[in-house]
Amino acid sequence: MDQDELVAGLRRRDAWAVGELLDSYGQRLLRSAFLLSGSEIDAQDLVQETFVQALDSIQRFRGKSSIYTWLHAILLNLARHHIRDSRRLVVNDELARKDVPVTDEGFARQDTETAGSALAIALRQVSEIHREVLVLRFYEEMRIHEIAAHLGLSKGTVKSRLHYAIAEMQRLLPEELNLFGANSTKEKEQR
Amino acid sequence: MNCRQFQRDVFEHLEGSLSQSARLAAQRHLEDCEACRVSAQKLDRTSRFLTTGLRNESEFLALTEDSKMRIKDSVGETPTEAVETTAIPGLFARPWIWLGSGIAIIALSIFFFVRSQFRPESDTSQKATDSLATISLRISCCEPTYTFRTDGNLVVDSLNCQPCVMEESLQIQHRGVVPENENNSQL
Repeated sequence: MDQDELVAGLRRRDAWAVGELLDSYGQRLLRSAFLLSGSEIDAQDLVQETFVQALDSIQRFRGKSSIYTWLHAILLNLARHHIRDSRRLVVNDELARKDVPVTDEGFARQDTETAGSALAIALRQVSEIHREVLVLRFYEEMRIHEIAAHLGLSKGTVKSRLHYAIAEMQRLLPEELNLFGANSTKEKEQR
Repeated sequence: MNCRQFQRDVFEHLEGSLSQSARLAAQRHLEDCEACRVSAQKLDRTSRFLTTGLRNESEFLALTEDSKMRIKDSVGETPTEAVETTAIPGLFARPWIWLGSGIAIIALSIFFFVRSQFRPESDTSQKATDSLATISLRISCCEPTYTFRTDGNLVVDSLNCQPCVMEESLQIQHRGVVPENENNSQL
């Protein structure tokens, strides 16, 4: 369907347009939300809120980007707030119990009960800014200039973050995955 | 292009977004530099591994029907097809009640206005005088309409008020009395 036609339908709040929006982008957005937040329940809530905010502000959509990119920008903003709130919650909980030292890894540990594969665990452990570029680059398959525009950063900063993010993943992933080529084990041993 | 410059552009090299001159320079550098060639190959493998891995991690997810329903409910869609509309049963739903009420209000207004113009004739110093009065009346009312529509399995109801305004202008000629001294002062 033509994007302009869909946007016009959304502005009129036509039921078919809302349904089309959910069917076209809901799944992909949900998966991206899951990778960003690390929790399926949080991802459902984030996507729901994303669509609600998007439909509330559809009059302001100028069509300079694709609808999906616009939706993802809203999702990213919501996910950032959500992750910061979650981290604060975990730290407060730990302070209340007073038997666990406060660290910066609250987010990483909050969803260990839903931990999946080694890759999912590693992704939850990398810092927020590195997780964002990893998801945008390798899940959304955005190009460097697209990530830069999406995050409001320079291309140099994006590339720098990507290098660090990949190095962090390399450190966190088990060696048996041999993610970074045949020499990775030897390189780690040398280090 | 040296190693440092190549490493700076390695992501664009892999995604194929380098300009033609930069792409040729990168290719020439890779032919001469084995370290950068190996590094680029590793990064390419990593990219493919992460892309596949992240897709596999999340492919089981699907937006629940409950979430879809909540989103649709929250936007307050306007119905695209005709829906059953039912007025409130009872007195308020009948137009003649509103019309009758309006006429009654006008009649009462006229009555009180005319009554206020007449004064007791106990004072003999007053004399009769004729006057012409114009009364403008504006009555606002609100007609409630209760609407039902079906949205999937849900019945959504809403109460709307349709404003209505009645305007009337009347000219009344009546014989009143004006105190004599007041009449003189006007002269």
